[in-house]
Amino acid sequence: MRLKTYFNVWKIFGLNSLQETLVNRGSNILFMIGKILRFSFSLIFLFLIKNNVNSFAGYTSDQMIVFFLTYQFIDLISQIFFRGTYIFSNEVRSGSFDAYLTKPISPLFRALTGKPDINDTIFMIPSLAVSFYIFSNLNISVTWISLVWYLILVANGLLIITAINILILSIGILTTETEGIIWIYRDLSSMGRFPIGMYMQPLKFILFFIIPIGMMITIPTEVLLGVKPSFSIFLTIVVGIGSFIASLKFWDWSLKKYSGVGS
Amino acid sequence: MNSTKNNKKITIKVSNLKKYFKVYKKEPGLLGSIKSLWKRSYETVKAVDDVSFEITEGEIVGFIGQNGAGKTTTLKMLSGLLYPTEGETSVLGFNPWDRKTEFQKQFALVMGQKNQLWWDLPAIESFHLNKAIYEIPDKVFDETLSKLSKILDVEDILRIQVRKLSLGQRMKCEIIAALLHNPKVLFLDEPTIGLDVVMQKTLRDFIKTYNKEFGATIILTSHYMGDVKELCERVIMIDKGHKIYDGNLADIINKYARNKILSLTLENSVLRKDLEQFGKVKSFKNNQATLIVPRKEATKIASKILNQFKVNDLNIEEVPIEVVIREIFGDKKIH
Amino acid sequence: MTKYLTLLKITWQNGLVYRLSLFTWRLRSFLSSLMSLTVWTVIFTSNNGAFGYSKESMITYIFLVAFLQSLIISSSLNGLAGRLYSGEISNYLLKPINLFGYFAIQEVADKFKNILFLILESYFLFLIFKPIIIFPDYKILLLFVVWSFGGLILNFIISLLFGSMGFWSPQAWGPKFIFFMMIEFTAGKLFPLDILPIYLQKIIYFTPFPYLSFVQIQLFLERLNSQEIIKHSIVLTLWILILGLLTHKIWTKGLKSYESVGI
Repeated sequence: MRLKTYFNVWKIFGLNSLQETLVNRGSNILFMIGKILRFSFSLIFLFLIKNNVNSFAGYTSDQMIVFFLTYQFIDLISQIFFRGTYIFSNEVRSGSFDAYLTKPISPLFRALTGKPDINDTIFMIPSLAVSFYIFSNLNISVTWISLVWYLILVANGLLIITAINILILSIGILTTETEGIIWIYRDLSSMGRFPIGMYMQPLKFILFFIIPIGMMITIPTEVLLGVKPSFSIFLTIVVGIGSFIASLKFWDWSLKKYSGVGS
Repeated sequence: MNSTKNNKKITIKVSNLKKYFKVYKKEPGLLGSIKSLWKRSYETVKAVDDVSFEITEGEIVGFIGQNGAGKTTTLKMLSGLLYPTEGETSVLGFNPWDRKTEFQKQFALVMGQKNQLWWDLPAIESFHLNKAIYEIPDKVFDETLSKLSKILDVEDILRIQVRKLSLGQRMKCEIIAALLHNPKVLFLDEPTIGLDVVMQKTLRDFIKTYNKEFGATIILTSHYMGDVKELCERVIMIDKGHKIYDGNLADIINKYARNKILSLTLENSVLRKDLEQFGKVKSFKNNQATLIVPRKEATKIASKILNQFKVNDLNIEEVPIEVVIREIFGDKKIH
Repeated sequence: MTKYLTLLKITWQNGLVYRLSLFTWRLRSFLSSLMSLTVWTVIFTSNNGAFGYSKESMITYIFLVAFLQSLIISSSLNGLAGRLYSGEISNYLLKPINLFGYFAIQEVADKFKNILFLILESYFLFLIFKPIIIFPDYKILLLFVVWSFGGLILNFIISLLFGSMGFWSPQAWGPKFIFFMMIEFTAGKLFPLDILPIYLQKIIYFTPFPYLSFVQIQLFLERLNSQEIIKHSIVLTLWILILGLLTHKIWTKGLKSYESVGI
């Protein structure tokens, strides 16, 4: 059963990453502190706004915090699972990727999930706990139906983030240089901490349709809050599935390009 | 082809294989970079140009040629990493490019300068990863691992961080990682590069043993003629993408060597000038000398010398194979 | 002197070869300024007078901090630890030039490159957000220039300090990560520090971060009284002296162990 093999392999990726993290415990503790600092400062900033400001871009300050928490969650999940994206271009340059290609396991799977981030996995526990605590104390009205749609759209958002990661990997194959692109993407996605609708054009269009951060974070949150979404749920799901399929196609194409088909 | 045994199965078959790369030429300087935005002139590099060969089960074949001759490109096409521009390849009955799981489970590619082990972890962890990837059953894994680590004498270092191992130890672990799934076909690209003489010898012995015990088919490229001389009965010589020789290593001498070496010990000392009329004097010391003489006239010259001088000892030897090959490639370094 | 000028020229050209990373760096800086300015514009649209700032003064504040911080924090020494650890720096030890002179030259070349882009970016941001910039009288302006120069030196020293970790360990990015995290929140670009609760402000003033552009802009906006001006002048000087001495000590020690390893 291939699925079982993939699960076993992924388990070992995780265990090996864990061991590596423990070996380099010094710098990993510092990373942890950095992440906690960032999370705490973001929260301090949000609560400062909440305490001093009544409304934010048409939302109550409580609603605004939900946008941030959604961003935090989706970002964390992608960091945990897709950490491999960060080191991939290096692996192409060093030839490790050649070795992946000779193995009886999907090179895309390995490139994406080869290095689960242990720091973020550990960090997820307190951050989820804090998020739930804050969420339960917010003055917002959530219905069961909107919650279900929210979960579906968050799943759709994870599909989009997978697609973006695959896109970055493909660029890594073609150009062997992705550090810059990753950072720009990280910065763009951090703009999703606030509702995308507040940004000016053409940035707003870019964040909804080119790098669909808005579809990933803003629309699920709007649906959860019972606000009329910026774009329809249908369109959001089309963008999600569409970008995922497109990214797979692009991966195949760049793999062929790498191997010299048609060049 | 005298080295192909007809009663054996053909494992690797390559016919009219070509790989052309298109590279674009950039004019130097910033201006050139800007120009290249809209206008690029391309150049076609023929990395592999019309190469054909067959390799039967259990053979060890050496690829020799200069850097950039097309050896690694050929190996990469046989591994399914590169897509051939033209021609057919078949390994174990599969087209490597399809990268079928059943195929990938039966072969391994080892690149001497590349590292597939997790740097910060002991090698054993990388072995476990490969066990999962290749779906190796526990029992087979344990047996293979203990056997391989015994032969290579690495039992003690499997639990030490890879970064703390010496280059040789690392290479041994690298080889084990590649062989855990008992591949029937093995491509070794510069397996002994950077290793000291003792370690080179260990690895060569190991490759020989592996070939005998598992009946594995092996293609090897190497920097060191020593590897090829000791391991490969048959060699394929590649130059500028073309196959220029395919056959017994020993036969290269018959085919290409133009000279032989005459070494003499004389009764009385003679003048260097007196010997130079017979051939190129390579060394001359007291009453010992070595001469390089045209191959065909070696015996004739020897008898002339015997007539003219009082000779205590005279030997006619073949030129070392390294020298012959260096001559073929025009005095450049062999890789 | 001529050799340093030649060095400046080469560094400059070399920097242009790596256009992509400069472009990335600038784009990231631009995006974060854009986000910060957008957030505050949105907040003040419906909450004028929040945090004791008027909309105009807040936008002007953020605009100026973004400009100055961009200038102060950009550094050619971000990868220094890696360059040290790999042994690349040992090449320079063999040449008849002063190592710190060389670093300083690199830094200057880097700042010049950044400033060209910075002016262009700031022009765009100026057109969009229309901050009102009133220059203070020439005495304050002069002191502002001196303080800003002090900020540049402080950042240079801190970069050298982080870089010195490369003498002993390849993993210098843990501390650097915390440094950037702190800068993001405590150097004043996302929000002015004086909106924080007093106890947090006190803690932050015990770090060098406010001196990497926050106090300079406070001075420029004439929000400091003469007592505060004297205090900050002394503290900034002390930071430079203390960290400078520490850096000098560590580098002297590091270079000794570096050469004795015989890289």
